[in-house]
Amino acid sequence: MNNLQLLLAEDDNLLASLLNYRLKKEGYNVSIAANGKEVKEYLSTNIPDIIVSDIMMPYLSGLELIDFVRKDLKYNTPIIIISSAGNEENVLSAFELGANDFIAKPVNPSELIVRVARELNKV
Amino acid sequence: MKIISFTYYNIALINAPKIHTNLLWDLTILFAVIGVIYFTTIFFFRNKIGANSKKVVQIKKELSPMISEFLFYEGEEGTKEERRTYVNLKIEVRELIKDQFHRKILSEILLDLQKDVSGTTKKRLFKLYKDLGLHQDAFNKLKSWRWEVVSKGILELTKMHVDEAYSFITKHINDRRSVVRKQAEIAIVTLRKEGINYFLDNTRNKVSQWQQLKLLDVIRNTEDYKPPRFKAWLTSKNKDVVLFSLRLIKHYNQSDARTSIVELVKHKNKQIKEEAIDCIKKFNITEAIDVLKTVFRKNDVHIKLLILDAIGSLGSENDIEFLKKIHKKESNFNIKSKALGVINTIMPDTILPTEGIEEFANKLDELEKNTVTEDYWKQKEINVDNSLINENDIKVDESEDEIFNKEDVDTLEEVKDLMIEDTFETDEIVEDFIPEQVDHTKIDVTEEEALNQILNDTDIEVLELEDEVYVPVFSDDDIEATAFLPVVTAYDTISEEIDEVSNDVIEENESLEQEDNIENIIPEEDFLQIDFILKDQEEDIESNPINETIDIKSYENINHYSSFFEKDDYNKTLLLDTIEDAKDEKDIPLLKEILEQESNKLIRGRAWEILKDISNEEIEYYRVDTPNEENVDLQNAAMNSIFYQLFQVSDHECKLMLLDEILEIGDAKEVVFLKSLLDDSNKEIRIKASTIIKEIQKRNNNLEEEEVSVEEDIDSILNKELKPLKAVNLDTEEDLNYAKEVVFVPKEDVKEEDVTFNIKDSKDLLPLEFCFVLDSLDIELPKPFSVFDIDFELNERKAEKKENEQENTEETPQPEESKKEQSFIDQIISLSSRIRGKSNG
Repeated sequence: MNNLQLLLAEDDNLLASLLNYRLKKEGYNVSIAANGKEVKEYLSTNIPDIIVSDIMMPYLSGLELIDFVRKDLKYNTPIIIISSAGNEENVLSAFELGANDFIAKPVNPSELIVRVARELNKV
Repeated sequence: MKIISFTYYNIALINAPKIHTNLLWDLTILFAVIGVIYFTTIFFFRNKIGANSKKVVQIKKELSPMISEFLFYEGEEGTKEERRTYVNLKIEVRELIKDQFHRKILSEILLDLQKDVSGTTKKRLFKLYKDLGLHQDAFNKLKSWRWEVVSKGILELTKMHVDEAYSFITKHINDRRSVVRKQAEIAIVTLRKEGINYFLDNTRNKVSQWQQLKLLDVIRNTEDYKPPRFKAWLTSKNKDVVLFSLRLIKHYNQSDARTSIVELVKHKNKQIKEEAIDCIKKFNITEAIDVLKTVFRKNDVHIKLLILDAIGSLGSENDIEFLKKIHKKESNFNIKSKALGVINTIMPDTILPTEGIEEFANKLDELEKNTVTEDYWKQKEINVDNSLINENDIKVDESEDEIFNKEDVDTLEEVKDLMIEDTFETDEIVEDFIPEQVDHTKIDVTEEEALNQILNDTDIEVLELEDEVYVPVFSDDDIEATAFLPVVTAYDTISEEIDEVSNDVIEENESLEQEDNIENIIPEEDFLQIDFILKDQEEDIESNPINETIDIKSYENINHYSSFFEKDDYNKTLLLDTIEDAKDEKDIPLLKEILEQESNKLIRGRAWEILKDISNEEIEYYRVDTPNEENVDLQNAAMNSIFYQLFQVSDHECKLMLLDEILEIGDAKEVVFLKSLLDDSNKEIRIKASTIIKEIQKRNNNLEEEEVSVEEDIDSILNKELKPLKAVNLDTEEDLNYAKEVVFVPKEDVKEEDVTFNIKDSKDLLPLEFCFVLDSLDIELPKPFSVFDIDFELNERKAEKKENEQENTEETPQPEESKKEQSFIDQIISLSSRIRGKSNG
């Protein structure tokens, strides 16, 4: 896992920092994007092995990010969506657009690690 | 001098106060300073807040990894380096939290993170919060006198699950400040599982619906929560506690409080009653039915409906009577409807719908009872009389076995409906379309025999209808060749059939009475029982629903010609015009009748004219009794007067006014018309007409010849008693004399083709000198204009005409005929030139 690139798209700095710490501790090479612009900039130059993205983000929502990756970039990169509980409609839309997995807030970092590993194992 | 000074000095009414310039400067400086201070303060605080925010963000960025390090520290499982790092961070954090600002930021970070994380991370976060001693700050807030600070302290302790704070927070359970109290209630229920018990036991204040929902939400999300038996609080003196307890009982399905719940149906509080009834329904507390019945009448409509609903769920057949009583006694529509609905819920189909239901069953029975079979139709004997075709005199002989139920069918419309369903099988139909009665010699024959006789004795075609009913049929030519259509067309074929069948039976009577001379018994129109009307009138009849039924009795009434004599002269004239256009031989009887009965000589003459056009044969027959042609011509001349038409449509006042106009502008033509007015029913008109005749005759220089006769006329008219209109008959000789009196033109001069009375004919009446002048000058008097002879000519065209004429006169001599065609005015204009030309040879 040392060389695996993980893009963490999360506008909440505290949560992003916490998850970043936890994911790095697991050995992932984590890149944090606080909004849609940074996500596009990153994707224009890099191809991550997996993307973990919040649904609600400025400039580019998680759904638009999935659509961008799947249709514009035509990447098959696994995408895990983080969404608050009770937002099932967005989760369904995300799966329809091509999301691979979903994790609800409040996030259990240990659970996230397991899900990321599972998605990467599929690839 | 003073006066002068007033003259030169103006007195200002309003003077602006004089402000010292220095004061203005002082004020300017003051406001400028205030402005500067204001903006400086704004910028200062803005920068301070901005800098503070940046500092907070910076500190959060520094502290976040540290917190993450603490949260995910794995203790002894980690490496030595990790443990060393952890110890260093702990020392560093301890140093930081000595600063109150850093403590505050650290608390904020932990409060934010607790929302986004779950599981073990969250528990570590709560532990870290306590390890760092941040909860002490929250406890300190509880001591504040400010309600918002206290509330924030309680909220912080609640969110970070500081269990030690429970006892501190319970003190605020009955705080007078509602925000603090509500925050304390949630904190108590959140921090400990027994918190709800404490709350329900101790709260003395009102608990809002929203607060109840929030408390319930807290309880529901509590892990491993075992709810207490909430029936214990049904006896609370706090009605909100009782209500909340009932809701909690319902939520947790605690059905062990049946008796208490039933008792709460009697509670004064409406919400408690609703919840109690809801619980009774949910827990199927059947023993509550009697209590529900007892309390029913004392409640409002909403509670009554709930009780009925509960009875519907729990009730049995024993409750039906109670529900029926409610239906009878209650005045509220909703309750009555609900009671019926509940009855049907308990016992389905007990109450059937009755509103707006037509009683088809009874109708069907009657129809079955009254249906006539074909056998009956064939065996039935018809007793008819052949004397008069009058429905009043016609009866159907009822057989002993079969009784006609005439009351069953009131209108022909119903008959038609029945016929549509099943042809002519009902006896109601028979009753309706079979002409009734006869009181003379009754001859009983079967219908078939009667029909055979008709077929043998008449030329009428018989159409077999439904194998049983025979109707006379007229060829299309008979109808289409005329401008009239039979009234029997009614509105649909059914009505026609009814009428035709009626006619059929009438014909049977006739055939039975006189086999050899059917046509002599009944006039052609009557025999056919068909009334002819104008096509235009047919549309009116069709649009009139009254005419849907064909009533033989009303035959005379719907005969439009029979009402001819009831119309005024104008409408009579219009009708005669229509008859003239149609030129139908079937109008001959009417025209004859007009000749016999019409009182107006003009109309009689017109009728005779039409009659002459329609049938030459009839002319010979009626020539003896009709006025001679001269008289008719005179009458037509009178009708050609422009005043005639106006006079026909005018009332009495207008007639008098018209007579005044005739006096002013009338000429010899109006005299004919005025003479006709000498027979007018109104004495005033007769006198006035005679006076005007006199005046006009004077004007026409014919006074000496006519004056005597007119005076005699006047005397005779004034002394004459008017005959009733209908009694006035046409007397040829009298009419001839009348014509002689009226026409001042010698009757020898009146030619048939020259019906209109014109001035040319009156030339004989002009002074001889004037006539000689006209002849010598080759001036011909113009023909009089009738109303419709007025011709308009455009000026341009007329100018062109004149130019052409001038050219023609220059080139070729004007022919004699063209001179005659010149207008009278042109001849007058050119008179001087002609005289000069003649004098010059």
